[in-house]
Amino acid sequence: MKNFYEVAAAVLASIFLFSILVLIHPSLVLVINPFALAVIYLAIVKGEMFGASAGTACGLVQDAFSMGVFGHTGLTKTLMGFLAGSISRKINIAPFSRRFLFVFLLSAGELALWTGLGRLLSAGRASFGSEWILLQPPAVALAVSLAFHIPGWFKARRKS
Amino acid sequence: MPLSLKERKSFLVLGLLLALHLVLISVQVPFGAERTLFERAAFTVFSPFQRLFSAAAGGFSDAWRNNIGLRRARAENQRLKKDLFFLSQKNAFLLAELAAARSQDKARAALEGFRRHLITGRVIGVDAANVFSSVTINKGRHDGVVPNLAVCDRNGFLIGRTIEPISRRESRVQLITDDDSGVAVIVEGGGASGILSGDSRTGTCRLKYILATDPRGEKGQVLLTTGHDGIFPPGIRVGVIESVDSGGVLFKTVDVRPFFKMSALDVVAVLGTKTE
Repeated sequence: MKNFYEVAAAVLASIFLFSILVLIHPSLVLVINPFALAVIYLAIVKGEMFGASAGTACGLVQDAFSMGVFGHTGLTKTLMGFLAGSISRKINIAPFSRRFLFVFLLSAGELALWTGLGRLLSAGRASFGSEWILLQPPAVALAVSLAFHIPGWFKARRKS
Repeated sequence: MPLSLKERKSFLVLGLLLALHLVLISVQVPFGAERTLFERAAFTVFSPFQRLFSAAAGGFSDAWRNNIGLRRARAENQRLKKDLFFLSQKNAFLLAELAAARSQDKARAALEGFRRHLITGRVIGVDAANVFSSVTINKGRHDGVVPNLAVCDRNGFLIGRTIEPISRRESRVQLITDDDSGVAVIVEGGGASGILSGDSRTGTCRLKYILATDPRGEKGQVLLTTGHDGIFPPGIRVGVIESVDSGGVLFKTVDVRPFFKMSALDVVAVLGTKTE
């Protein structure tokens, strides 16, 4: 039950961030995908099962807020959440640069799969917004890496 | 190496979740463009949160601005913007009616109908996959929104039409820049007419089915809706022709820049009157 509430909180936090980004500039939601942020962060913290569940929930909500095929983003986010949780347990991603690279590769892989699957489902007709979307992997990687790094940085400062 | 019990459980959960998504995707095949029950349910459940967060963030933003100062100027500005919004809607329609040389009585009757059915709303979200495809507004079935109603921005420029899913208080608007959008348009002052479709990659539009031999349709000309599509009322300003390439075999390539600005979309008007 606790996991359910945590996933629900992650979804609501993503919608909140999504709403703020829309207010600032609509194209920002393509660059900083709040649903991807939530899924990767939670998967690294809680593991692959939680990552897959969060991926399903966040992906389906993103699908509900878009005109594409319902379930398309849910599928790719589920895979991404699972892989993020599973691989992060097997390799050391503690240093900032390694975590950045890890999340960058995950996010880029998910974007490639999402685009490819979208084209397949729409028989090649679908297009996925402006070129801004190409900034999504580095932006997500930077945001997730900072989310892990900043609390540690504050702790270190307080100690010193 | 054999998998541990925990790993097997993880893969089982992953398999089940992936199967769920494949089922969700598959059940949409017979529905085509129509939205499935699952999608409507998800939209109905989560769009109120979007509305709530958007209102909260907007409220916080407004409060912050008010605190900075110029409260009176801001209030005055809001009032003037509101007036401008209604005047722009009225003006756009009136201009088109005059251009079409219709009788004054008919124009007045149409304007009355317009005013009666105008539903003003606010954009609370954009399409999460492609910002030029659709937006979500804070008006739904409760406010009288049904599918296929024209939607304009605060200046009276066409932005799109309402589509499913429409929940009690929220609805989706397909933008004219969406790839699947189609609007019957004509060049202002009478001239080439065709179908305007969107290009969601660039956020622009393209005027289709103008014969390469047709001399009409030049750069800088303004496009208006014709009303022939049965969705958009005639005379709404849509965009301006940006470039024309007559090099095609049968048809011209006419690029159109829509008048509405995606980054400036806030208040919108849903036109509750449908063409006959």
